[in-house]
Amino acid sequence: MRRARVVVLDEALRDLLARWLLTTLVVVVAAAAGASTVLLVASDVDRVREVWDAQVAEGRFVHEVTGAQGAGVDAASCAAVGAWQGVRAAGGRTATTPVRLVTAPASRYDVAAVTPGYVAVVWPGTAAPLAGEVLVGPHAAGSTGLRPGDVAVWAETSGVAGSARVAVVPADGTPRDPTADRQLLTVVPATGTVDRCLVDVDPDHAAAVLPALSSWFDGVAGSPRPVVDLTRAVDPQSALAARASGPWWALAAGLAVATAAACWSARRADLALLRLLGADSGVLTLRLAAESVVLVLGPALAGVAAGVVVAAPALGHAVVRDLVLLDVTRLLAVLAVLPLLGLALVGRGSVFRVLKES
Amino acid sequence: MSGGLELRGVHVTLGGRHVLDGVDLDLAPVGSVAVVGPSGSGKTTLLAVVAGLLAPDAGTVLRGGRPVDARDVAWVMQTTPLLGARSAVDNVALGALARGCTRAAADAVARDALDGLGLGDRAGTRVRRLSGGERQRVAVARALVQEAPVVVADEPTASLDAHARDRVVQALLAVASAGRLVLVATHDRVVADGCDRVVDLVAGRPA
Repeated sequence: MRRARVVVLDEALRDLLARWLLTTLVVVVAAAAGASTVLLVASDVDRVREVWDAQVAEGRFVHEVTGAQGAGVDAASCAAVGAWQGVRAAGGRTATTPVRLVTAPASRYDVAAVTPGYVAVVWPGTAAPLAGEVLVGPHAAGSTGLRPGDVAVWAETSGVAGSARVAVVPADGTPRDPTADRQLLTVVPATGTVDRCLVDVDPDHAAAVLPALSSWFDGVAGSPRPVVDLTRAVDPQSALAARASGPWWALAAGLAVATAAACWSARRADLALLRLLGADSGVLTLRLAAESVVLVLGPALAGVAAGVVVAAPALGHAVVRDLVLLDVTRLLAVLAVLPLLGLALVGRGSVFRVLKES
Repeated sequence: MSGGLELRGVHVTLGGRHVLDGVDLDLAPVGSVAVVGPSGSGKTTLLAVVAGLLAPDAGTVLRGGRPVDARDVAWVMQTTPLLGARSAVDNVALGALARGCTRAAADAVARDALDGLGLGDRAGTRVRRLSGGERQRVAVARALVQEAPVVVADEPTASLDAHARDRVVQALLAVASAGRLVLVATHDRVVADGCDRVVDLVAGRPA
């Protein structure tokens, strides 16, 4: 029995090698189907992912809560929100003081006292200045020449002088609160009120956090609202659902299947000959399965592997990885039923008729 | 008739036409039999029924008292199915592989058979590069190594020149001499004359 299987597989390989040109054509199409599915889906989904990440970085999930009728929001309540699960950071300004810097006396800047979570909301990942230090917004730093390590010296309009070591100058301005770009920020304890409470919500928890935020400030502040204009925002779910690469796996599978089917149809008489020589449907299925592996499944998997290597950076992102995996699974699932299709195409019907017609 | 073929009341209707109309025939287990008759007389259909490739609408076909097993029959056709991309020896070896030989044994048997039919020097040639007569001899060689007790040949010499035809006929008769039953459907009187027995089929039944 085992020897019979070996003979069947050996014969299948010999046939494929004998028809190397046709074999190569099918193999190339299958490999291209596998590689292109990975590359197109990865590229397409990664583009959506990049847009999404850019929107998140810009502040799509940063919400502001303002006090009723221009009143501030309790700073402690705002700071407490920062400790919630699903909230990345929360904070606000407790005071803003107009000053003139010694190094740029012609212009007016603000020294803003902010609660500890504010810097993390406005410039995520930037360390907050310690006591006696300031964070200088990039526009203010650009026009005053202040750099990290410098000492900023200023005078308030009331004549009171102040100074602090420049701890941080963020590289880029922030779309989350552009006013901060022209300010010097000092961190103070969360007491009193903040002008508005900025809350950076984790996108994965937004559905739960936003209602809770409304309840938290209910009666003392307005409803949370995004700090950026969302009218031009892209909905990632819609974008992914409508992605151009969505039906590609089916097209790629169709091409691979059609090529393999054409290959088998061209050999209908050959396979009928095997039936004439006593090959039953089990033998034919084994043979077609072996040919499917060599012609289509193997090359498709090799193509997928090559695609994975090329698209490795994009595949580092879960959403890209998941969708590529889904489409590749669909592609391979279709290709896996090829032997049955082959059997239906060339393993049925009257042997006598096939041979007479060939 | 031990091992011989018995056809009793075989009826086959194809496309509304009675192709075989109550054929009764007894054939010895060894020898050569020519089935002759005009086009449409049912020669090919008779062979297909004998080979078990076509089930009769009525009647029985028995070999040694049992229904014919398709593996007991080797075919040679006018355009014999061969694997065009494979060599002659590969095609012949298929017959031996089908009966369970190892690859090495099948190749050896195939080369011997091709040698015996004068095709030893063409063993490694792809079938699609062989002439029509050579292809037919490859088919006969395959039938030979298949060791099927019955060989049916459907117009094996059609479209061959006289020289090629003679070689194919010699090959088929050699198969019969090797102890098989060779059943040949033919229009060619030369082929029929070379056979041990001639069955004349007229309007779907032996005359």
